[in-house]
Amino acid sequence: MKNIAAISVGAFFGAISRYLISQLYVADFPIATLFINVLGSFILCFVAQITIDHIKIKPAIRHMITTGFISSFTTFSTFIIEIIKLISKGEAAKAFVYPVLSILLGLFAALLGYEAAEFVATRRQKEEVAQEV
Amino acid sequence: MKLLVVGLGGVVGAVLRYIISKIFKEVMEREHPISTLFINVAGCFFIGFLSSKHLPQGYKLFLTTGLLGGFTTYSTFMLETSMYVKKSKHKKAFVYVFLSIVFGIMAAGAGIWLANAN
Repeated sequence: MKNIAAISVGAFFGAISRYLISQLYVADFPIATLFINVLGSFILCFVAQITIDHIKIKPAIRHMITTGFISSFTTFSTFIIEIIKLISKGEAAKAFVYPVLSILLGLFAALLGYEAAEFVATRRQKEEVAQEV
Repeated sequence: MKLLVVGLGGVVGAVLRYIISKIFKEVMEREHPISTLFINVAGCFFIGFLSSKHLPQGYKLFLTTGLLGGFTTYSTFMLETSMYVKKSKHKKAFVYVFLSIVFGIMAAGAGIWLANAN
């Protein structure tokens, strides 16, 4: 029950953030969803990595950020419907480039998220050691 | 007001996603991307259906942008794919991505077809 409450709070703001960003930039290429999904992939992997190994936070808070906010911020259904819209408009090249870019940039962002978490964690450890000495 | 509608839709979608992924975890006795695949493909079917129906803007914002946008997730999909890549399971990563997109497009197509059939 605690998790569901936490997820709800995160999801509320995740969906709103997605909506606001999607209103900012309307173009004939779905750049807003691409941006949202790539950014979300980075943040999710960063948070997942840093909270498992390095920073301990309460499970409910973790759920609020990951299962709630970020999972609700990013979207798969809009991504797919945008591909279909490009196909039905006869924009074959864009309908191909959009998913390829989404996957490649999303994957790169995810892997970068782990690296960034490791980088931050190593720096924290060094600072702690320096303080002890 | 629009923001509230989108936000509440997102809450319903995320809670449904959490419950479904918990059920999958119980049944499979571990976390598995099949749960995300199911959620994302199901969401595509419904967004296909709803996108072809004429609904008042408030309903559309609640159901598609809010609920289905929040129900389906791209970040978890990428986290799972990147886990496969990190473990050098490249074939699994490719199959997972391929199935998600192909089944997603097919499901959305089926939803559009069903909406227009009625």
